[in-house]
Amino acid sequence: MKIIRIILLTLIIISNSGCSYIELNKLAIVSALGIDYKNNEYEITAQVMDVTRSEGNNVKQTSLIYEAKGQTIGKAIRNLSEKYPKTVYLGHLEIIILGKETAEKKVNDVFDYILRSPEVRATGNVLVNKEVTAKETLKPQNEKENSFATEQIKSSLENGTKRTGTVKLITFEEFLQDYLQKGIDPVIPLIKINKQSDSKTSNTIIANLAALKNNKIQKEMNSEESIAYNTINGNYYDVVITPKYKDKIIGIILFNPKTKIKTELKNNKVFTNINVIIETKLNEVNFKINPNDKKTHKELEKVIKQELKKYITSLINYCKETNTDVLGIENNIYRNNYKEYKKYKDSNFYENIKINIKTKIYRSGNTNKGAV
Amino acid sequence: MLDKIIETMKKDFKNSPDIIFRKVKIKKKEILLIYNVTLTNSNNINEFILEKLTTLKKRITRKNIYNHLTNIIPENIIQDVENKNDLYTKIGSGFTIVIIENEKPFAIETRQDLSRGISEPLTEQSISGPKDAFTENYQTNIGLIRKRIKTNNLVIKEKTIGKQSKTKIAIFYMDNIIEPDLLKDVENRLDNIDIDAILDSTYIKEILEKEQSAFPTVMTTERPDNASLSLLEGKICIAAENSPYALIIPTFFSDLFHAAEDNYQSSINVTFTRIIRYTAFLLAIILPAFHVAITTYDHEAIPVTLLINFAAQREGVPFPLIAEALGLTLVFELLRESDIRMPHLSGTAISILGAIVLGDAAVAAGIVSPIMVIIIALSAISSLMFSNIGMVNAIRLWRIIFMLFASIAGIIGIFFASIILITHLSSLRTVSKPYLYPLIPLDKTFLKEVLIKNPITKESKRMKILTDKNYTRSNL
Repeated sequence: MKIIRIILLTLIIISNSGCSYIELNKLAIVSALGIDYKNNEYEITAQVMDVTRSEGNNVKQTSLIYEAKGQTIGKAIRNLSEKYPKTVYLGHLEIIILGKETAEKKVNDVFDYILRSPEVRATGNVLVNKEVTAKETLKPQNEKENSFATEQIKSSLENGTKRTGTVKLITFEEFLQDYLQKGIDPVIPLIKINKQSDSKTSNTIIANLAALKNNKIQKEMNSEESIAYNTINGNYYDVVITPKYKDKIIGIILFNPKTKIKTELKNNKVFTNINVIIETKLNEVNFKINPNDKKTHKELEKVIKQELKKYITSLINYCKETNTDVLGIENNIYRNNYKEYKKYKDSNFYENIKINIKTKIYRSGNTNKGAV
Repeated sequence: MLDKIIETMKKDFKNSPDIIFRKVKIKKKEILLIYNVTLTNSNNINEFILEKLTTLKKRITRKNIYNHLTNIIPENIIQDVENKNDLYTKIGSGFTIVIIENEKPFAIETRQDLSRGISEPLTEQSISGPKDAFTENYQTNIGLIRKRIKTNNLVIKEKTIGKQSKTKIAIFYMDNIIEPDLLKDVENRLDNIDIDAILDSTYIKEILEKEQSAFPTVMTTERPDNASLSLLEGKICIAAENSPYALIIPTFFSDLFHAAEDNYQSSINVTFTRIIRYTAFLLAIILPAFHVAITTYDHEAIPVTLLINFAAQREGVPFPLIAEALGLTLVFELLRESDIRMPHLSGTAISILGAIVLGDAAVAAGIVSPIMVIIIALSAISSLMFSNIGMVNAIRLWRIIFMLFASIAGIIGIFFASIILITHLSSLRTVSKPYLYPLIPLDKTFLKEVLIKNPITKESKRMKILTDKNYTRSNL
């Protein structure tokens, strides 16, 4: 009886576990994946973290780049095994880069693969290169780095989100949430290769966003539009903007943005109010002002409001131009006014927009007088 | 006449050199003394017998000597000798036999104390608190408990168990606290023991632990203070002749996490130590299994930098991970076993050999990965935190079971093993009480005490599962 029990137990365990036994040193850990589409075939560029233990217990870590082709993404990834002897493992995939042509034609396919495949980790990041192929992006950019630095890109993406406000740290999971929701066009951060004039070295730059619509990555936003997008979505920690005050450039820190979007439906038209409440600090003022003076404060606040309004208006123009809805106004109507949603589904959401900005300068720095 | 007796006796003892026959002539009367020189104290013989006899003023007859001696020394020291067999037993227990011509022999106790003195506890050491431990001497052990609990409510019941050994067993309990059913149950079990010899109290422990489990359901202790505390909680202690360990019945699972030290430290510190002990228990059982699971099945659970590190360490190791883990566990057990058996002087050699040859060199040679050495060492050290050897061995067994399950099914396997462990523990009984009390059955008042030690001023109640009367400890 006891033996039967033990056999039954083992059977249950084995049937529950699957046969995914694989030792760590037999894994090809892919940290970055580039996806290109060329001649009706997918070209996969994978950066594999390769570790070797040399004599004297030193661990040598190198990143190798392998390429493979296939009719589908999954097939292409399997084909990697022809070149690299270990099992391809996507559980620690940090970054997926979409190349130029993929960004224009096959975006949906990529996200379908990520969504469907249980192997791919949901907390990686997606980046798009609109200028060159992913393969070129993944190549070592200068002699110093022996490979594409995944960790660096990840941290600069994080920093960019927090401190410059021009990109958005977004995981596959969060991205897919936006992607699958009705009435929101998701945005993707862009990656660029900046070729130096001597053409030997080049830098990787991560900046600005682009909207995704109709299986295609749309036009790139400029940095002002990106900041506007992040302000409305409350993504950053603090960001510097440089408006003009009395014909001189001053530095202002924006932080703690809170935005509410309200929609009203009247006469077959959508009226939208964007209410931004934001806190500001003085960062650089290169001429004499008295920051304790209420009048100067008012003036400065007015300048900040104007500047932000300019940014947001520019973003709205971007939306009109590319016919995208990155702010999710359609989604807003769908959620709040479901009964009338069908009637307004095809109207123009970005025609009647009112922007209200409230701001207050909380800090004027460590000095009242200034050094100038 | 006396010579004839000597001759037959010598034949019976097969000329053993330790049996001494001594003829003395006092007041023209020949007296024969028979004793075992190794078991008797010659001082006692001189003092109790020879000196008293020479100062006897009356005639030397059995009656006169008997009366004289009973007047000056405690009575139970002089005993009649019933037959030849009794005579031999008495010689064996350190009596001196006095034979006067033509009269019935009698025996006088002249026993020598053969046991070692009271020493410090060796296995349950503590920094503060009393430092005396039970010895092999039965009377001393009873005294060590009796001097701590002076009330007449402390009952000591004596039983003789063992067909050949005739070992004396003492059952201690507090008459005004103990639950009668528990006492009856324990006594019944002891009465039903039919065995050749009880050489140590652990024999009784094994007989009382009916259920087959690696976890100890009856605890042994060598500290009289621990035993006394248990008695006051309403438990039963059993001491056996020639054994320096007393048994505590019943022993709950949570008792194994309490050390002797706990009673003499401030409650806050004890609570913290107990949390560490529970963590150590989990680490000791699960850690190697968890490592096996996440590095062979559930790689997603490891952060990427650690993953690369692990992968690099595994590079070039020829065995599968589970073989590596089991091999290192075996090495550790070899070291531990040889360290226990070795005399202290060569112990250092083993530690050096273990640390340098088996640890460092094996890693350098690429036979094992360094992380595996760390994991097994951490888990082994955690298990050695428990003073109860039964607990350490139980952890060792379950650690291997967990590892095997993890190697079959990863983290799901660990879940299965945990379920088996929990069902096993909750099905155990210590004598007739549930082993996992106060968790199963749930007793909210004492559930806290598993982890948190209350200050003495707040420990006012006894556990209801152990006593149904007199459960107030203090009124502070």
